[in-house]
Amino acid sequence: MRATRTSFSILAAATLLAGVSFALACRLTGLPYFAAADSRSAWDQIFGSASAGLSRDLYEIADRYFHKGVGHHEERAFEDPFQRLGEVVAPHRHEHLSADAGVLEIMPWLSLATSVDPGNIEAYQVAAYWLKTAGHLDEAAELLKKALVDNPDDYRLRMELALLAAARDERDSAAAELDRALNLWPGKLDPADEEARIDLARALHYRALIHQLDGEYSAALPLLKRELEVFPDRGGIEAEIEAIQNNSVEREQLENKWHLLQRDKRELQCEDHHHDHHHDDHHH
Amino acid sequence: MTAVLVLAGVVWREMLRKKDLYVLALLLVALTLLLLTVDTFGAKNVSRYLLDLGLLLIWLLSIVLAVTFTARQIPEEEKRGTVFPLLAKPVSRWQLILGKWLGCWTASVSATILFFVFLLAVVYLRGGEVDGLALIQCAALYAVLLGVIAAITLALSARMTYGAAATTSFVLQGAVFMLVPRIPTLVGYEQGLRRSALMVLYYLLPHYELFDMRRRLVHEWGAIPWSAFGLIVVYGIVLTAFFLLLGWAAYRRKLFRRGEAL
Amino acid sequence: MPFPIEVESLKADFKVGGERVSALKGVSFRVEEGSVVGFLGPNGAGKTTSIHILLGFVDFTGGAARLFGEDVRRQSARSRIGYLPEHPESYRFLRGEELLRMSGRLFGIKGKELRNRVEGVLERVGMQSAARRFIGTYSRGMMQRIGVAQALINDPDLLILDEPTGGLDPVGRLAMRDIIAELKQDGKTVFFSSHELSEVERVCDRVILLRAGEKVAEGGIDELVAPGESLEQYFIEQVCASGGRAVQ
Repeated sequence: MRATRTSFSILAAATLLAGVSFALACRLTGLPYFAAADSRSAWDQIFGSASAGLSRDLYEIADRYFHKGVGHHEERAFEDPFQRLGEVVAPHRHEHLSADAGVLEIMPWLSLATSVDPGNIEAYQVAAYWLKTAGHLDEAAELLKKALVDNPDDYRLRMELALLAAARDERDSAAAELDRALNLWPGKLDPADEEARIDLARALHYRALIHQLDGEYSAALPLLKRELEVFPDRGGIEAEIEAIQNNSVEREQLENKWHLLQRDKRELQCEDHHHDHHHDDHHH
Repeated sequence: MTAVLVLAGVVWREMLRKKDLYVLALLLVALTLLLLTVDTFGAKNVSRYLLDLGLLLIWLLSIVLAVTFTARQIPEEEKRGTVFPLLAKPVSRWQLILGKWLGCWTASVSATILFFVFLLAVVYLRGGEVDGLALIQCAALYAVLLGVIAAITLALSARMTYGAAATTSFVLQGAVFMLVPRIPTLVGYEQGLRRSALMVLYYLLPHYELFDMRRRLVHEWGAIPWSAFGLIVVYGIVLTAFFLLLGWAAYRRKLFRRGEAL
Repeated sequence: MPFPIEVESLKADFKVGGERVSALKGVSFRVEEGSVVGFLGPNGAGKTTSIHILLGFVDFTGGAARLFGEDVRRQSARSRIGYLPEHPESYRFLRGEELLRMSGRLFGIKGKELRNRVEGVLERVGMQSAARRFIGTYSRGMMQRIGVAQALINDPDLLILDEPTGGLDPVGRLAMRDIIAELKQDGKTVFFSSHELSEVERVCDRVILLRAGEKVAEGGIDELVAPGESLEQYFIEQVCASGGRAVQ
């Protein structure tokens, strides 16, 4: 009986203490005791920005996988036999995976990254790119459709769909997606952001290309001029504008550009600056 | 030598008849099967992540098994009082230490091999492949590492209770795994006494990273040269011998207390 | 012929909680071959310390201790002895016969000889039917009997028993008395400590009495205990008195 009374006393004291702590915490943070209903998912409400952080970590793992398990180089204050032996055991000079050499092994990590944070567009982009490059076009399309459900207003996904359509030689679909991308730009990104400006320039250029392939040179011209406004130093664009104005556009050049677009050989920026001549090429 | 083998045999029977091993095995199976459900965006024969995470799980679970199992051996003998009839026979304390270590080590390694076999079966069924030679080296180095960990834990348990020995061992293993490989980088940011302390730790603590071939195995970098392999094995044997000697030195003059009272 | 147990001016000092404690202050005694000797004394007299020194669990700080002429610190000194601790415990995950096989192998016994020995001791202690059961399922009495069995597995010439009848019911105590009597008939030496003085009176030839780390009496029960007096009365007298009867 005494033990039961003691337990109840402890429980009552603990409950009171918890209540006082909660009230004090609310008071100190300025929150109302009962917040208005939040429309975010339960996961988001509990984990909030931790999701974004975790998603970035998972993306980092995918990046490490891409570099065959080698992470970013860390500067060391000294070298000794333990480290030299350690370098024999654990690879420290990275190589890149490729479409025909295991690059799809990064997919589970990208999948996890997007599950944890469906707003991680970069993860979707990289996944779609490699699926496409490895010849899994249907899977890439499926992935991008799924990404659009959570990110309907992100122009980058539309651009990826455009490139996918190009890979399938579906010019009309590619054109439609590029139009959507241009309408949505810059989305959540800052229009002054370097990456956003590069994307804008690419979208304008690709759309202009398709206009020209369809013989719609007058529709291509304003797009190229807008691209020149974004990057005034690009002499190549000036030459293209001039060619259109002079009716001297070479069809073969346009076809070559279209084939390049279909192959989508984007230059990958390797973030590890510690390169040496032993590692594989970056460009695919 | 007979005494050592007999004592090791008792340890084996204990491992097979207690639940620890089966709980960990079930955990490995459950978590590995869970990993199979990860979406790979439709890509087929993707198995590297399975091997990577599976090996990590095996490492963790094997270390848990090695530490918890080894940490309890000597304290339990004293707590139960079974150490008295044991040492009343022509069995020395050194043979007791060695026999316990041998049993714990071989039992942990055998469990680990079973875990490996299970994981490899899953990876192969998923369409993955593993370099045979690299796999053998990876498993062998890991076995040597388990020997070191068992020896450290046994040395701690020679003078500590089971709980204290297990906890201290876990903290030590965690510190060695996470801190030691990073010291060459950390030292660059420190000066004076802290720098010196880090350097002392670097050369005092074992270097477990030398026994870790997982990255090499998962990302298909192939086997390491046999000279390096041999050197690392010798290093592991020296470490094991050192900690066993330490354990014996701690144990040889210990007064036994039966349970809580002399 | 060396004595099974020979102790000369044995001293044992320990540090307990920072303080130096003299557990044995120069104890001397001998146990003759084929005798059954009771080792008596109140709690803290030094009985367990003495037994632990004989078994090599604890080192001594002065004097000498020998088993069959060999220094007790040598591993080989324990090859001819069997030991039953107080409240014997064993590996609960082993079966009874596994424990006995393990014990036998530690003495270097193997093969057919080991099998025969195991069967023999199981029969002697009446544990044949329980041999295949796990020790964790044994009762207190069964634990005691399997403890005796493992002490007998090497057919020892000297048996050291620490409170062999402690916690046993009257039937158990009778069984233990019978085992001791059989051992004596076989010419074995039995040396045991006990608080059950009525049991000691029944089976022992001689007793050794310790008090506060010193020997206060040694001799045959008939020699020490006056007619009409019980061993218990004698014990209390010796333990409580400031003096005591002359050592025999």
